[in-house]
Amino acid sequence: MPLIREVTTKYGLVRGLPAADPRITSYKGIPFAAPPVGRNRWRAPQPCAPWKGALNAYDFGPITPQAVTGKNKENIYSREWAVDDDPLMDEDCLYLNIWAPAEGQKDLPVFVWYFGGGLQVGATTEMEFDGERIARRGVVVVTVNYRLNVFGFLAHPEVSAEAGSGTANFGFLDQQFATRWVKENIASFGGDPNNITIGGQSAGGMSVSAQISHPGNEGLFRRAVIISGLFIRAYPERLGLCVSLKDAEERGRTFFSEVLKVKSLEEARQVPWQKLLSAALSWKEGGLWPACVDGSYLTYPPDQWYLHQERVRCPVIMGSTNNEFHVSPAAHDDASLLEYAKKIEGLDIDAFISAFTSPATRESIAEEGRVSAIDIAVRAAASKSGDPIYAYEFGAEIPGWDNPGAFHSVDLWFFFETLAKCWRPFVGKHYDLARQMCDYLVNFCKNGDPNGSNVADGQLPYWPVFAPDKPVMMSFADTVKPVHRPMGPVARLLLEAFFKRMEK
Amino acid sequence: MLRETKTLQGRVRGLPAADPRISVYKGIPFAEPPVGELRFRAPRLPASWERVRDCFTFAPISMQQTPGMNPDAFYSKEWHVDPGVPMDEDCLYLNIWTPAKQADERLPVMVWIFGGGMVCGYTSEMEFDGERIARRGIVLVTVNYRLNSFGFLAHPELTAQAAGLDEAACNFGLLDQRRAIQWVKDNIQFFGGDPRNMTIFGQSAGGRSVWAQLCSPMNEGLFQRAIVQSGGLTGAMANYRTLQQAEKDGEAFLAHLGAGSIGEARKLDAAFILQKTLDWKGAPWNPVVDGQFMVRNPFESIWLGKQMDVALMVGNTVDEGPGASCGNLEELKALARRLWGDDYEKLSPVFQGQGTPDIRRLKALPAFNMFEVGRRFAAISWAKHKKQPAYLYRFNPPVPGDEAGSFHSSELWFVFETLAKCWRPFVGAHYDLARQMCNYWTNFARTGDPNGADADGQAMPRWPAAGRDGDRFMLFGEKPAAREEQVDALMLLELAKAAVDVKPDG
Repeated sequence: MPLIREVTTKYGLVRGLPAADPRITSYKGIPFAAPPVGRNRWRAPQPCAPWKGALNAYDFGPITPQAVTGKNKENIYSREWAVDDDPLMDEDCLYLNIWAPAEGQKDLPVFVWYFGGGLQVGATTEMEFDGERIARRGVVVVTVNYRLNVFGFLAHPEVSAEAGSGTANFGFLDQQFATRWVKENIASFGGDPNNITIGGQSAGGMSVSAQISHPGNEGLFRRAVIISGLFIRAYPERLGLCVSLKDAEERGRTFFSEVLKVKSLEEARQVPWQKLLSAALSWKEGGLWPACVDGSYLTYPPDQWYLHQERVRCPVIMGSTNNEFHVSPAAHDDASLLEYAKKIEGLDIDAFISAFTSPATRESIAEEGRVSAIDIAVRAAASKSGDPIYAYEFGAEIPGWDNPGAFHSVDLWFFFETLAKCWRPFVGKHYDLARQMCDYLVNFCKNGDPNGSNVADGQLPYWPVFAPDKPVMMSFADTVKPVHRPMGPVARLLLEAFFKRMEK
Repeated sequence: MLRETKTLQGRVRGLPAADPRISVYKGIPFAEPPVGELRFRAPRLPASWERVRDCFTFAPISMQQTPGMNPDAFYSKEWHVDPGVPMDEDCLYLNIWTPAKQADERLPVMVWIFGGGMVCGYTSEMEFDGERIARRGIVLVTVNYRLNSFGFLAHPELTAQAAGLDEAACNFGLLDQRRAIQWVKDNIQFFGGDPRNMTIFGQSAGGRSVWAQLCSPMNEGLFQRAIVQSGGLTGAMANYRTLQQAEKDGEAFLAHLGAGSIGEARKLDAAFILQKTLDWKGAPWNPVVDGQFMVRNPFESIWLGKQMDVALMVGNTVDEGPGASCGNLEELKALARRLWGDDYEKLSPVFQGQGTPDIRRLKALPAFNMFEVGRRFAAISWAKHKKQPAYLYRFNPPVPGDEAGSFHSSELWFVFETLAKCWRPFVGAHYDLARQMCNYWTNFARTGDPNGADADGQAMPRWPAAGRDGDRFMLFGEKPAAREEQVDALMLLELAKAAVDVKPDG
């Protein structure tokens, strides 16, 4: 049987290319929606038109308009993977990519990936996301592009009025639309439309949360992977990428009138995308473009899905790296610690203060009050969601002159088993770790349970469901092993305070 | 990134590899399609093209037995994963992986010649993916060539025709390689490569091809270094045909085809010729001492020091060759008797002593392995005749998955660092070895010396040059480690047998 390089979708014939591993076909740059340009700018994604003949899906589509960081080698992520100084960029960006086993397999599990980048930057072209290694384990891998920053997350009263409801979060809508495209078409690629796992890292993980928190997505996917993407604001500092519709609309109004200097949505849609992008990037006071609780797609902040019944129920893998999103109280002695604690609504202040050494110093507070915003979220989800949560911590030794520790995003090389592309001098133990992490991910896509066999040498160490009374996570480090991680007193109090705030 | 560039024939467009810092161009023609009147003729410069040519996919493989028909066959399981791979007589194309951002970078170049006994093989075998070598700052080229009857037919009519055209009369497969290397020399500057720093390398029949290219008087200055991996030089692997023999073989083959003349044979359908080639019970399609491309059997050339003076890397695996294919002690003894006569037991301590001999050790006896013998033979010649050094290796790590050990070709996954694609359950230690081997190979291509730093900046284990008697080599076991091994009586006998046939000149 010849290897499959051509597939019929609902929209037309798609022709792919053999990946470097010829048993995999890659289809890059398949349009899943009409180009979001002109009248479709700041509109929910629209179906793409069918095409005649075969579409040569040989290369990635353009990346979403965004700031390009590749030239700045001081930036760790530029060194890590933003290697193209001059990537092809266009507002016409709603394309997805598929890596599919080509030997005629049917009903394979499907993994749909949303990249991260704070909803402001990022692309499916990033080399850590090459899907070949996951696909080789019998999974159809789909990476989807979505609108970012001002293109993806502007809100404006005129936009809401036009849509007849609070319509914003175009980036999330793009992801949903792409995932629906996958459900509709993936059987032709050998995938099982009823066995889709969605996954994402950082803002991509937040995107997974957004899809979970939209109850209309029931049936669209069966499992979710949130890599360093779910946080709890344990201390008052805002770490937010989600605001109210009113605030978002107000931002949009200010942007139109004061930055873009246009009088209407119609006029704003006529601004060339390059000009729109540079205006948005020049608006320093504006900051990032966050998601918003728009009342239609999102009815509550998506990072609180586990507190709500209105959502998709599914098992979730979630976790963090050891060097990310740790926070400590902004205080330097007993008095300032007390003042600080008083600002945390719902906190048992006495118990909190007694968890610290007295007299306290800046150093002792930083040490004893240090909690992981992700770790707390994992525990919150495990105690409230009612769904199986598989938790992990990633603490591998990461080589390189910059001695970065297990920094935010470095685990992507491992989950995708693409570490050979990294400039870092990874050695055998890293390949062993990557192989097993990829195996767990693939097992989870297949069965909703990460446990099972290791492609190289037998069974993987057993990874139990995380439970508040049995807090066991999988540790991905020099060895892979389950570790018991009871909650520290400070984190426990902060989580209880968080729950109290949420009950109100 | 260099996604589009020119060649002397026209512009070409490539694609990003999975690693976007690498641009890949697949299926660039380096010769006129060898079809019709050009069948059974030396390759010619390709025609030019007007518009930008998309070089996105591998060209068809040369006419040969469909690879991977039997999925359970050893090498099918290893890498012949696509029995539907396109095949065509129009097959003279090459592939380039370049890390260059601009055309003027002058990076070292490596040109790969695959193996397959001169009868099969293709550039799109998955172990040959060039991304990992290219990531080390090398422009990697993999070249196709004609095989079996299409590549190695000789015939009196062809000899007569070639004389009139001043072409070599046979060895089309080797001439295709040469044409490809020449194309690379002429064009690689447009891909960021340095035409004055080229290494040719090949394995098995590809290694044998490298020996032939090294010895051809037509190739002086064509490339700067050479790597031979398990490429036959002596013994059974030195079966080159004389032109007279090959012409006779060709006449018989034309009769087998039912063709009265070369003209008629050129009109036959390629698929028909392939079928008849697969049915052919006559002499194998060995290269020919044609007096033009190949003036002597390469082992004679090398013994006499007539080969190019370029730095050489040469080595072999352990579990290959006739010893490795023996199933039991009786077969090993029969092999030894055939090679060294009835008194073979007196020649080496490995056959002496009490109790049951260690079969594994016997099978791995270097003197059984003609690739070991050839390696030693070449090292002695290089030391005696050449200014440039020779670096030797022996590859024998634990290879997981079955009992095949370090089978013939097993080092390819490591040299190309493509082991992730293999079905075998390789683990971290294998990735470490692969990384270091790929480093040694690319260092050698860069400077003629394989030594240098590993990815973490630490020096890799030192690989010494072979020395006067070819005693020093790198052993790629679980880790690389330099070794020294003196010639033993059996090896000496093998070397003597190889040398005794060499006629000094004429």
